[in-house]
Amino acid sequence: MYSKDQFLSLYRGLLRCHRILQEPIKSMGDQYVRTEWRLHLKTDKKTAFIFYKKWQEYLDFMLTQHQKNDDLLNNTIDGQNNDSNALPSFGRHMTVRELEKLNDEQKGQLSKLKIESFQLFEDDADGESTIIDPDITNNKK
Amino acid sequence: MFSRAIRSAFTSYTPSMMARTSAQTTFRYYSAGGALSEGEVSERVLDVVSKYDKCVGKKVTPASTFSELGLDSLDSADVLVAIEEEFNIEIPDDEADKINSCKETISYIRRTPTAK
Repeated sequence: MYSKDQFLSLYRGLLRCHRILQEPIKSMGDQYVRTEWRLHLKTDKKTAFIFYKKWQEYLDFMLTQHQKNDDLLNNTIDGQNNDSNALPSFGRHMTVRELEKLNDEQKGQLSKLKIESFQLFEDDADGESTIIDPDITNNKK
Repeated sequence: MFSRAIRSAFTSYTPSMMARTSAQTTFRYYSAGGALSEGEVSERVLDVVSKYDKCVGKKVTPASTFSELGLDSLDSADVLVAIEEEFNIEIPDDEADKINSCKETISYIRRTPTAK
């Protein structure tokens, strides 16, 4: 089992890894971490173990992706890589298995979140109105 | 649209990271040997702690311990992460585990030359 210090170390790491995100995404991510961790303060050992593993996976994913984006940025600055397809990426698509595990309510919530999060960037856009296809899995432009 | 959203997230991310690097370089040249005064460190630490939602309305002094302020271990971690952002440093795990009060936080910042 993981020690209390290991849990705290992971928790700090999670909050730190969100520093690369822009607002309001950063605050949203931080708040999600804070709430989830407090909800699981008094959980059984087995759940705590899975909880740690899953958050560790998330942290590793975020750090790896951050590193890749950084490398991409450095290459672009040096003029070694002008491949316009090589855009930095944030997050990932859900797998079919992950989607299958969701119930209808969860799917509904996720769909609302998707629409809301696209509206955040819509406000930032350069004035041109675009109808957003909420099904981003089919929209890999 | 999707790619524009990504680019938008990326544009704001780049300058802040670059700004941070150049600021750190400047520090290295101009401030050998503890640039921040006790008073300044103390004021900024107390400011960060007072603004933490669970501390709002409470009297925060250098002598306050995190537990006296009603903070549990996760809350204390939140505060330390906010302190890191304020001073642009990263507190290593073994140090962070030992910090349980405003005084200890101030003392740590004071002996961290990269704090700015």
